[in-house]
Amino acid sequence: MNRRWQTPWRRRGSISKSGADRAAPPRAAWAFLAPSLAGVLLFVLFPFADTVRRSFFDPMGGSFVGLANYQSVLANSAFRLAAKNTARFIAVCLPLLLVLSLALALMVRAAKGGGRLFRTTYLVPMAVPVASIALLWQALFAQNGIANSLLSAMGSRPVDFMGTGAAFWVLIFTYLWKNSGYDMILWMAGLDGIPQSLYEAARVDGASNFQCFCHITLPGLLPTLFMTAVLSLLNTFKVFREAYLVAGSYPQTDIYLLQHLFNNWFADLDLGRLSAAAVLVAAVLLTVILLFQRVLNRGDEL
Amino acid sequence: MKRFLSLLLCGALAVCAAGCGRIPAAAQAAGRYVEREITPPGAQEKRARGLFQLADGRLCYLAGDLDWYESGDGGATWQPQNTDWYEELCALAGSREIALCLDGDGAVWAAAPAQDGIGLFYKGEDGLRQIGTAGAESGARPLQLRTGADQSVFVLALSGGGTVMLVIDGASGQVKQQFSVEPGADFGVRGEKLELFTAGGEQVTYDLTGGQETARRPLGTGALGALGPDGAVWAVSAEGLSLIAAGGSVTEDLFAGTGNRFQAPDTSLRGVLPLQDGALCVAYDTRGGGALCLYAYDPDALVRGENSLVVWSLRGSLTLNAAISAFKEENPQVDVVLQLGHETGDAGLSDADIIRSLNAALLTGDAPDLLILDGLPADSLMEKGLLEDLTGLVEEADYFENLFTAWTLDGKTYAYPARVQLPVLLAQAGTRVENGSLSALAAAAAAGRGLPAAGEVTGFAGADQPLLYFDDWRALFDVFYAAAAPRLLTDKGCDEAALTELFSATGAISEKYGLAAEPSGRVSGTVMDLDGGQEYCFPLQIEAYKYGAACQCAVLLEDLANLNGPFWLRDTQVALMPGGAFLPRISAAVPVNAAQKELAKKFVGALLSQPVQAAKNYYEGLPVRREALAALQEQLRQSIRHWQEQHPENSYPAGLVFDSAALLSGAGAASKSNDQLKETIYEQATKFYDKSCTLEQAVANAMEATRLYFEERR
Repeated sequence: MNRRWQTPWRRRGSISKSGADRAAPPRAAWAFLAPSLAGVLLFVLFPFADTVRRSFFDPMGGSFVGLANYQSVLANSAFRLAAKNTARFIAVCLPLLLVLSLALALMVRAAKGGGRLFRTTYLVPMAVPVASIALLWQALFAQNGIANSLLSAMGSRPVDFMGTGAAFWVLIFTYLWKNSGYDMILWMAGLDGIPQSLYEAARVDGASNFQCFCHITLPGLLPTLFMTAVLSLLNTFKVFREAYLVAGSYPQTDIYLLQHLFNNWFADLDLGRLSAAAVLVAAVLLTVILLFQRVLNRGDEL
Repeated sequence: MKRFLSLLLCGALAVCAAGCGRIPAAAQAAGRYVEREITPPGAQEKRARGLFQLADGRLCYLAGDLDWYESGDGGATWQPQNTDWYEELCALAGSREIALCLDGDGAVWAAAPAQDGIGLFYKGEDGLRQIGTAGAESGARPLQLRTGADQSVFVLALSGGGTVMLVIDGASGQVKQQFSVEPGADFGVRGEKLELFTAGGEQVTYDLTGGQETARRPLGTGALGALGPDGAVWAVSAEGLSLIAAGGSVTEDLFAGTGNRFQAPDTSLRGVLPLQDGALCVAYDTRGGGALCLYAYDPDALVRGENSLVVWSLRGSLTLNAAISAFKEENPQVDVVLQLGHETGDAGLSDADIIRSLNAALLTGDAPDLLILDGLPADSLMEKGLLEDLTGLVEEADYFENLFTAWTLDGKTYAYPARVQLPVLLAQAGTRVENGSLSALAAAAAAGRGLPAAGEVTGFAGADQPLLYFDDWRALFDVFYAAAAPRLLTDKGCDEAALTELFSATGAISEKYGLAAEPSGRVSGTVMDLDGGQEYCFPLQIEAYKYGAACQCAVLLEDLANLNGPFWLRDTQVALMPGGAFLPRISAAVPVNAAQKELAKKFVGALLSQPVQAAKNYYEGLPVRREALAALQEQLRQSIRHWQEQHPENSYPAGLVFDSAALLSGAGAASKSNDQLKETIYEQATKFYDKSCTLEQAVANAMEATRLYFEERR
């Protein structure tokens, strides 16, 4: 990589940490953080600790069962199917979303007038209530919905979108449609953080747009990439709402996600296995996020 | 920093441990309306005829044919009055269909059908005399009468196919005003306004000068209204007592119906009388007689009882209400709080949403004391140890103990069904009934005649009747599924052979009779009004069998009264459908973390007690108590005999020729499928019925569609 186009902040790694840098934040900062921290403790960490505890007990929380719940969860074919589907969904839609939203951000920035109209347009799906999306989904993808009408008009056979594997791609499409705008805004914030002087300097040196993108934009967006990826990863779990409203507790096999299983286990009061599965999923997610952070940090150092 | 974080953590823990979320119990509030039974001694065996209050405050209660009681102390004591004049009145009127009322002085006004209208009679201190014959057509029948100012007498009567209000001059007998009104149960007069209270729970106001309707408002489903002395309107229904102040529109709920006389077994409203002191008297019809209750405000009565029993049910049930009434009679110090998942009129929440809320309550220690398991994942609750062991709670010999196996696990009983429904086959006595298997039944149906392609099926279809009748796929599937469910649903999933048989049998019958998803409308239904404003629609299979449109009838038996019709035409035998399944209904269980376990167990006893079991079934299922079933069957036989005596010119058959006790004893396996599974399987079945797929494909699709459900539970 041509060091001339490295962003200034990349050099921070070479600055030796002085005592001034290691000074603790003022106490006032902690005082401001305290209420939020207390809320997180009360409503997130304590409940999670309780969930971990429940994963080692029977449904009523009366008797200790050790790892029996974990063994049962891992041996349960429904859990394996749901985990597989969820992983597949994340693996397909997350990269697609990141790429698509970045492309939208770049195009909107390049548009005249700042692309305000486009920005608003891409953000509108976020504001649409989930129940409305479910209704829209039914109107579009039902057996005699708009999509099948169009297909029939074009001479194709109707597709059972919700009863076959096509439901998976409908879910992907819905997720991308709903979340692209949000990620686009995050990317745009990241793009705004890259100094224009770098681009000017690069152009003076004869760099093309593509070279600028590869050697200035992308490296500059690495911190944004981490945040966007983590938020998008967490948002993938919210797609359960649309799937549940349209297809119920037992949808087509390809869109049977982890939350469907958790929802049904809760209805069945299978708390022990539900807690064990939740702990497993949380552990996997945490591992993925930490790994991702490590990879990005290593890239940062390079 | 570390110290700060530690302090924060300790503080948070302390807050959690202190249970700061608990709201301290409020001090006991006092002052509420209380119910007190004031039936005159000796009047319990007689139906109420009238309820009046004289100008001096004395209460007058007319019962039977005719007893007259008066009380000057609000019903604490009663003095019987002389009614020798009544026979003379009946002779003078030439009829015993007499409507009576008392005026403020205690004089008696009477109206009776007359040859050319309605005869008006008066009995005062000077004796009995006829005032005259008032308007209306010949054949008119008086329903109610009231006296008003200026010696006016108001008569509500059936006349000319409708209902009319006659305003008669009490001195001369001349009709001052006559106009048509809504069919009404009672009325009151306030100035120039007539307030009519319909049987459908509405208050209709008429202008007496012109007879026009000027206002209308609902009082509540099935409510009986009454006009108070101050112009306030009282509404009495199964929901309880309400009051609307004169000229107002806000309804004040004064007395809850749940667990009280309103919903007691075999009790219905007869009459309502608002009293001068703001209390209310209500007359009831009970089985074999009547009762009179006084509802008055007691400033010292605690708003909540000493103990509370929380009963939770997904949906309301008249049997449950009757059990609450019976329980409260035995335990008056206990408040029964009925929590319904689906409140009346609420269509917003799904069962799954409600069950999630219940689960949260069960897990957080806020469990109700008693659960009605209908619609809940009951097997899951049992398997996870969330229900109390109720083994030995009742003397099983008094019941059809085979029905209690529905909620038995590892030799322990966790719940008791109060009612059961049976998939049965009705057929003429002496004919062959194919109840060996669903396939055999379907083959017998396929071998017989089909149904007409279109048009209503009425009257006798002759000897070549189709074997069965179904109006649509849903009716067919529901009965056959109920019969097949115990064999169909196993721990591991759907049994393929049972599923294939179910689809094959129902598919064959569907094809034979040309059924579709939409009702064919070839047989008209009968709708019956139940207590509490509810309706019951007789299964069309029974209607078809009754009118000879089918030889036999496959139906879910919900009440012995379902069989009241078929007896008209032939002696009917009843056999269980193949499999001998039964559907447990209104099953009561106690959560292990219930606060009032002993009271809850007593409540289960009330649900299974003779008065509740022998009461009207309300088409919620047959009783599980042997003595109660025998009583119901005897009641049915008596009604048949009574009808036969009343109509000796018709040669009706003997009627019931089956042993209902043997029927229930023969029921073997509980059919406990949940709605979700059933709908999933039905969806695949319909694709086979409309030939969208083959039998094998439909079975495979159904197995696949239900696979996840069973895999989750493994």
